Amino acid sequence: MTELLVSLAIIFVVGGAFILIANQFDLPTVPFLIIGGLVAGLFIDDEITLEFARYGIALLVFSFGVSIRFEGIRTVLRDSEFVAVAQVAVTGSLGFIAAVLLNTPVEQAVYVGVAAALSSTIVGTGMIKADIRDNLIHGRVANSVHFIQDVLAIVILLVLSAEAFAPDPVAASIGYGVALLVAGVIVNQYIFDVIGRLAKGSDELLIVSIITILVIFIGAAEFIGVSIAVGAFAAGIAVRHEPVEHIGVFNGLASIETFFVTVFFVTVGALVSVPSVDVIAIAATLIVLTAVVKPAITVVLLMYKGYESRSSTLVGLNLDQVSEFALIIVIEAMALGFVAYPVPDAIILAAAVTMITSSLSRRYDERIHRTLADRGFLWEQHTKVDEGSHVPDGIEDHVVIVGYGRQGQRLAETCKTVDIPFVVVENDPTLLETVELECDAYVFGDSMEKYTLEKARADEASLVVSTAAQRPVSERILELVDGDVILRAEDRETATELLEKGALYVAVSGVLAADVLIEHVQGVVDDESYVDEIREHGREQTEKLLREEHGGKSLRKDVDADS
Amino acid sequence: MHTEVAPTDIALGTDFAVIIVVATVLGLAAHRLKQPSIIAYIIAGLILGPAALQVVSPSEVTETMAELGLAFLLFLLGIKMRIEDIRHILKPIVKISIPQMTLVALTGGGAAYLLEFTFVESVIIGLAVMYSSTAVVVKMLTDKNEATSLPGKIDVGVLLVQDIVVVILLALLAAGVPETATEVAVNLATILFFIGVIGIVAVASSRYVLPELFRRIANDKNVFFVISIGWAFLFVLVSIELELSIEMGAFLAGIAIAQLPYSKELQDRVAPLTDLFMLIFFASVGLQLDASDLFEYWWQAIVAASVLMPAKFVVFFYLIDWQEFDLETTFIGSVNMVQVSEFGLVVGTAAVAGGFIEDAVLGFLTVVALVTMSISVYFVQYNHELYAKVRPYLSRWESEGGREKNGKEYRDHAVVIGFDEITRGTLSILKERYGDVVVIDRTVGHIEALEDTEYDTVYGDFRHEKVRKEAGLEYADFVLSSSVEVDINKALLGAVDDEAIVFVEAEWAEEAYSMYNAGADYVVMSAHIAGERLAGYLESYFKDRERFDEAVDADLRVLTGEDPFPDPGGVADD
Repeated sequence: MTELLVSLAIIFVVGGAFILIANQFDLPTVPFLIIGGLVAGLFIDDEITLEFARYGIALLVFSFGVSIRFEGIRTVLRDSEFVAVAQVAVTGSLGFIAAVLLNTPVEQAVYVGVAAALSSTIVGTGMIKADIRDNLIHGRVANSVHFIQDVLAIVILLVLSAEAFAPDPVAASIGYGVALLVAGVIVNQYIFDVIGRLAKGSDELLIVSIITILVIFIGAAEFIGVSIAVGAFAAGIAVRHEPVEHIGVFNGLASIETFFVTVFFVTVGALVSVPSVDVIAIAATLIVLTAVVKPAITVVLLMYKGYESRSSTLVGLNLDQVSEFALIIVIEAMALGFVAYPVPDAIILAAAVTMITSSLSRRYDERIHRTLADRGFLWEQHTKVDEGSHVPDGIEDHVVIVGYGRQGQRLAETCKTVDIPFVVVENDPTLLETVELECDAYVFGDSMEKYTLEKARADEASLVVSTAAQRPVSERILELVDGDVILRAEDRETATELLEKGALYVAVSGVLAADVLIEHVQGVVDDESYVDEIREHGREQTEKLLREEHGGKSLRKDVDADS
Repeated sequence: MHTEVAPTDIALGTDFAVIIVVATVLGLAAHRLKQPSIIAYIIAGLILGPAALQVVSPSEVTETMAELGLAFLLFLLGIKMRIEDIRHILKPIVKISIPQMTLVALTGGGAAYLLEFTFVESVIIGLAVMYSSTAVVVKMLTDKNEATSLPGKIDVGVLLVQDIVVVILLALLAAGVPETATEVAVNLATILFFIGVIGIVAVASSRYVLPELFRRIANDKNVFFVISIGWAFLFVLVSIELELSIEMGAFLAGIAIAQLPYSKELQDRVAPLTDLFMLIFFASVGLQLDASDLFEYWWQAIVAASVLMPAKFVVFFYLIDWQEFDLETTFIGSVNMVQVSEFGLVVGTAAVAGGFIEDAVLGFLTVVALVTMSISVYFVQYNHELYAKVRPYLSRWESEGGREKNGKEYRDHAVVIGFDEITRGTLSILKERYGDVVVIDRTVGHIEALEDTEYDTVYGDFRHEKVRKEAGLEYADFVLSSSVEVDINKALLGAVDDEAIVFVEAEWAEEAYSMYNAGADYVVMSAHIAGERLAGYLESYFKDRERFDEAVDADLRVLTGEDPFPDPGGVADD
């Protein structure tokens, strides 16, 4: 019986208990694992679990490497690279300056800056999964800001692992790191498939093969003296693959990752000692920077780039936590002897606290935005709405279409066919061009703002149709508009409530689709040859849709309205 | 607890790295040559260890991983054991295992004595060789999907009884030469008492604590997984504190979870970790073999191995047959168990520490274990083929002991992935046409809603093979997926029978198109359907107000009606 085994057992028993608490209150698990670590630290010697914890680091970065989709990067860059980089620069500098003012040595203050700058992808995007899937503006922007920050984190790791801050080693280190990444790409292109063929039929062998590739890259990273995280990232690139082909394998890797990552977070918590005044001062500064200053800066930057206040606020509030990458960076720096008490303790504490506060700010984000907007903290620029809009004077008995996504476009077409004037309300800057091109009348603004709907002359309209399925949007429209309103909802319960509040009709995709599905299933059951019929028909329909989506519109995936 | 970490302290373990690299390379080679991976891992250990290159000596990390491997293997096994499935064979298992150990110990000890070991050495050798290898048998049977077959259950049961005996024996050896018979009896009673208590706690919690606990957490994949691991570790921790075997603790922890409906997916999640750690385990078996030990008693070891394997087979065969199992079960159950266990080495190590035997005798035991394990791997691998070959000569033992097959097997049925607004209304139609309807869902609430209906349910993520197998996906005639995730649907289309009718959902036209290309018969695009419907309503709002009102009213009746869909109980047969 090794001491390590006992330590691992304690880590999982304590960690499990704390996760249970997190689950009970619907809070993210990561901060609770760290807090669990504070407790487990009383019973275990963290030094002996640190090796397991570093495999956790490796696997975290590794799976980030695996999940990168290069095809997606282009769309991401157009959206948010400026905001992401500017935000990191501003908050990072503030963190650095604050740390120096608190008497932290300059070379260690850098890590406080890094911690202030980066936000947690696990916690942040974890909370808005549905919004990302639905391609809502704030989901998309937040997702890509997180992504860019993670890439930045890898670069920071690369730079930090240079043995000193003299320019030469940094250059060499970056050179080695790039060489590793190139090796990763080469393995991915030429070797991984060979291994896949060799292991054909055995998920077990393919999983250990992938772990082997990871181990070799980590070894190479250690050998050339860069952070193991960089090696792990390159290994992730090396095994990137269509997940469909090896669905069991990547699931298996996820289990292994979860195991070691749990050890990592608990061990990180266990590293913290009883906080001194120094630790508390730095941690408090970091918490304020992360939870208040960073969102504020993000909101300002996004609004400057033309996003309206609501989406900007929602994105800002999604970034208000310390990143797991900050933890990785600080642990790696500890391993290299670059940073010592009290900086790591403060960063770890701040991470745990902000990850929890972040989930609270997510819970109340709409309310926070309303409060800020009503108090006038968010200068809603009517001039900006006016500039981006075109509504003919005196237009009336028209249709207001909220959201110019798939369904919005379809509705606009219908209006054109039946020759009814319409005004499109949209708030996504990336759709602005399409709207201007295809519609005579449009308002560029947030449909939750009174001014936007006034501008669209919603009260003079004969009908307002909203294609946004988000409940707050629907409720706000019902509040602001007196006439006939058609809405969308995700489920029947919401739909029923919206009807009670006065909607003329509420479309629920699931219910409508179920109708069609039942018809087809019944058809197949009655007569098997019906299958061939619907297959042909469905395929033709899809091809037609595809042609429409590609014809004229620049976006691969359009947006389903988040106005 | 403020730790300063010296830079050199935490370079990642090279022993782990070297082991996994070499074992993987050999594993891939073995896979091409259709050899079992266990052999490759053991050989990797032999090559790297003191027997050959001497480049690796196990560190604490690899030792821990090896221990975890065995613990997880038994945890995994536990998750598969439903108590009602094994209750009826408990008695025969005890009746088989106790005489089996006695007989094999006598044979092994006797053979050793004839090979000119001293009396004490022969006794220890006898005690060390009477177990079969949990690692080899359970790992091989799990890989072959036979761990829960009847012979599998008998073997596993016997292995667990042997495990208890090992724990007792180790306690006795650790205490040195026993003073009195009472001391032995007290030791024995204490161990059995603790195992009993842990067992009762496990079973009680599976009835009173876990159902509520897991119902709450099961919807979050990772929380579910980590808490399950934590649960296993809780039992491991208690076992360590009580100086019991950690495998036993892990097994009982698994049994408690097996009684819940959520265990299928968990099996698939624990398996990869187990595989990884078992690789280290088998490699470290090979690592223990020292070259000098190999030569000291090499021919005696080979003689002993060639006596023990047939002897074990005969003993098992006779005893299982005596318990009136059918011939096939008897044969397979016996042929799986002919090797000497890794526990033999543990017993040997303890005996060296207790001053009963010398290092060279431990070397002898290691060679015996290694030889018998390696050979028996092939016996397990080809157990059914062997049975087919020798069956004609065994006809005199043919008996009517056939036991029931458990688990329902689906054929020509319908599988529905995801129980929601969209799929709900189709269940009764499918039920009427296809007989069995199996619903796969990962939300506890949905599964509960379907309880006590005529539809079968499988709880778990469709990505897991265990879940797909449980639902008999490859034999289904009709499959309906309400998942919009492309990877799930593509995997689905790859896994179903060519003739099956498959309906899937997709979010975007591009995805729908690739679904059709991958063989889908119909792709539901709910957003598109809703868009079309809305456009239609918009048109009639302006052109034909009456029709608009009618259509909307009809829709609203569906929307607000108490129960607009045929409910899952299938009352809508009319």
